Amino acid sequence: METYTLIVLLLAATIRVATPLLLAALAGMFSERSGVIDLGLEGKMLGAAFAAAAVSAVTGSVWAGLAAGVLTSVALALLIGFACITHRGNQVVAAMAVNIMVAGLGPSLALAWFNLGGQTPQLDAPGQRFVEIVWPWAERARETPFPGLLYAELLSGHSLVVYLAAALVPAGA
Amino acid sequence: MSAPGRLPRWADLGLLPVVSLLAALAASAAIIAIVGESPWVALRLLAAGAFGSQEAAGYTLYYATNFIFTGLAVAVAFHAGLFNIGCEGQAYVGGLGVGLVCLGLDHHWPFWAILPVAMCAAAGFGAAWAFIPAWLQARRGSHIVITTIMFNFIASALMTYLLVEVLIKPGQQSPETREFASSAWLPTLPALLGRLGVGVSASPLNLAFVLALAAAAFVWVYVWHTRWGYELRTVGQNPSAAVYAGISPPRVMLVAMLLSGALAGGLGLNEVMGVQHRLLLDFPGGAGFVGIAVALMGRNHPVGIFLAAVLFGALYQGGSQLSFDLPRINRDMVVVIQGLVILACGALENLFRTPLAALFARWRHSGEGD
Repeated sequence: METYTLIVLLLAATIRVATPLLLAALAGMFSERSGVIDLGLEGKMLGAAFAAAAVSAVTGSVWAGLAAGVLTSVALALLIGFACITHRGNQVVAAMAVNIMVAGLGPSLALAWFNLGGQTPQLDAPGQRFVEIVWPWAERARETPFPGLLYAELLSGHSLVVYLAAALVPAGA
Repeated sequence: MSAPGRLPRWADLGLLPVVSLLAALAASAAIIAIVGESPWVALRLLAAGAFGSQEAAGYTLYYATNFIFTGLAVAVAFHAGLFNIGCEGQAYVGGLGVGLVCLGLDHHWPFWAILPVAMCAAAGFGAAWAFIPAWLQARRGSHIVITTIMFNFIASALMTYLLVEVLIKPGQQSPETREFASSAWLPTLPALLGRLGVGVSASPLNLAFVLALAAAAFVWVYVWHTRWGYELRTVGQNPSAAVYAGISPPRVMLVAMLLSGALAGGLGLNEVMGVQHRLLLDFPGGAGFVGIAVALMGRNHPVGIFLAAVLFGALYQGGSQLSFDLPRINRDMVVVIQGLVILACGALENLFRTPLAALFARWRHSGEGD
């Protein structure tokens, strides 16, 4: 029984941790299929994370943060596209440049705007971050190991982004 | 979109990098203004911090030494059509070679005997770390960018393991080896010059700087004045033509990457033998990535690489001064400038090449009309 619970919890954690990888892989798939090798994913995700955290901290709205993150990532993609497609620059070099630039830009702007030694403020207030969505009857279902615990841990209890990423897999195919 | 136009050679090698650099600096100035500091004050502090005193200039050239080695490493691979992002890892492992030689020989051999062995170890270990990605690219077609990035991580993990578990000096907490005996220290240039009667203030600038210049001369001779260099450039520009000319691209790629790794290993001499006098974690400190910017800015030519390396050395040294004096700027600003320079000089070079070429074409045309 102990082992079973452990495995279910491990699987639940796997789903959570796999989400950023899944999103990055989907992003890479689209650019790879169009013939652009996107080594800039790291920089885009880093830039988006900074923008999302900063905007969410300032506005107190997780949705504004999400929008800022997506827009930042798209802006960086446009920059790489401008260099690689419009001006036929080297794709690898452009992406590396963006990765390095963003790695410095995040802490630099964070220091100037929030004065917390290069970090964005902690997102504690309600509405500043995506919370876990608990599905109906999940707490009651937890009492029965099978299939209740599976339902409570694997299906229920993730943030919206996890479900969104999962939905994007069939949508992207 | 028409094909990028042609520029005269001097403009391609001299004017274009300067224009790109100015664009990158303008973008950096805009970011510094956004952060809330005056770009003009920042530039003045940066220049003073980098060249304001003999000590500052010594630090600048000490950083430049690392960048010359890694810049040359990237450039040699570039000439063979390979993008070596693994200089960081190759330099790290090259430093391991230097460290092992120094730890093993420092109590037994004199300096003049240790130096050549350490140089061979730096080059050999660096080249060995480049060999597997090179072999995978040459024989199996694995993308060199991916494999060299991966090897940076492997090098980092390997070095952490070795320093934490194996090479650490017993009885201490920090993962460092013992300090080498002074017979395994590279003499600093101020000390050497002092012996010649020229007084210069102390700085970490050491003999490795001279070795870096020698390496630059070697690369110039190798790439442009030997048959191997000719093969290297042929493979880089057109592998199919190289095959037709009887050159084996896989073999040339292997040699180019081994040379690249060996050059990157030279950083280990400067850091481990010249300054730290022990092995410690993360001594390359990102110089492998700066090497990419240096090679791009220097147009993969040793002279350009030297100038670009000094520029980045100045950015590093002046940048730390900047973060001391301006509270709203931290060291990461240097990374931003570095990224912008790579973007402008490497990826966006056609942005300026096309209008410049048009300008030259019109100028030449009007000259003929007179």
